[in-house]
Amino acid sequence: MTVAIVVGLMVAGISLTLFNSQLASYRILKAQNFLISEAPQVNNTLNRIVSRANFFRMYAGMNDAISSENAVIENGKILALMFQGTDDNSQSFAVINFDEGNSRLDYYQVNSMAELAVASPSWNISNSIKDATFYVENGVLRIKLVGPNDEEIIYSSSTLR
Amino acid sequence: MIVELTLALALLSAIGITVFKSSLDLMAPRQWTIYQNISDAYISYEQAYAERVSFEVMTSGSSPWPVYPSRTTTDVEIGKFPGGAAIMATVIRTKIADANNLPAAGGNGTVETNPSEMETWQLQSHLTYKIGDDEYVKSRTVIRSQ
Repeated sequence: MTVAIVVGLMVAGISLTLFNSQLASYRILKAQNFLISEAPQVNNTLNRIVSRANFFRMYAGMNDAISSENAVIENGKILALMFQGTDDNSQSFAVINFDEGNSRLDYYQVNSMAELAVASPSWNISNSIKDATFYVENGVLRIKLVGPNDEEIIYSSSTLR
Repeated sequence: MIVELTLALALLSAIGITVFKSSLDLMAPRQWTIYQNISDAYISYEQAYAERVSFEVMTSGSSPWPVYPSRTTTDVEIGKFPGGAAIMATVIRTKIADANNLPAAGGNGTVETNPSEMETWQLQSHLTYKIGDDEYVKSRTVIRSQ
């Protein structure tokens, strides 16, 4: 009887360990999702947009972006890209904004920066971002994204010259 | 009773080992993919910087890309794993003069072969990183002329 109880306990113990290791594996795989699935798509999107722009500016907050004042070269949270049309008067702006409250990286397409005050995002680049920082290093635009599990990836891009 | 329990124990152990191995098999390529994505993102900086650096700085004595066989070796943090552990790599930079550059610019050209005194350099950046015991290298080469 004792042997049966011991073996029974071992079976129960191993079952529990199996269940736990499955849960741990699932947690690890889930934590890796941002860098595996989301990051390449974000990289692709940002590179396609930024490389077609004529020049860029960065702002620390939405109010500065709307009034096109106080541009920064580090710790930017909003990236404004200007696209020059075929004549001098046709310009459009793409704005990439990190929405901290909703952990989203949003894209706006506007004809002037002032339009941002009433604009809604045209689309959402990512909705699982903990932090996004735009800065310039040696003339190169760098975009640092922090994922939901503190993973970090840095993209670099340059505009048309 | 004991026989059944022992069989159950053996069966569970076998299932446990199989599941554990399949989890490991699944995680190894994902780890590789993470390194690929992060190093791809990082090396885009090397290419953008090489395209953007002014010709004057690039050819100066304190150039970020010294003339081959000299090179600069820098350890850099290219990103972070989930949980915040840093991912390290090494960047090696060097530049190679075009053979038709004038001797002052590292080539063998003459005023006959290069009458416009064209200066061309090949800027190379190599990013090396390790996954387990294997070492990987990613390279970007940019040609600059003036």
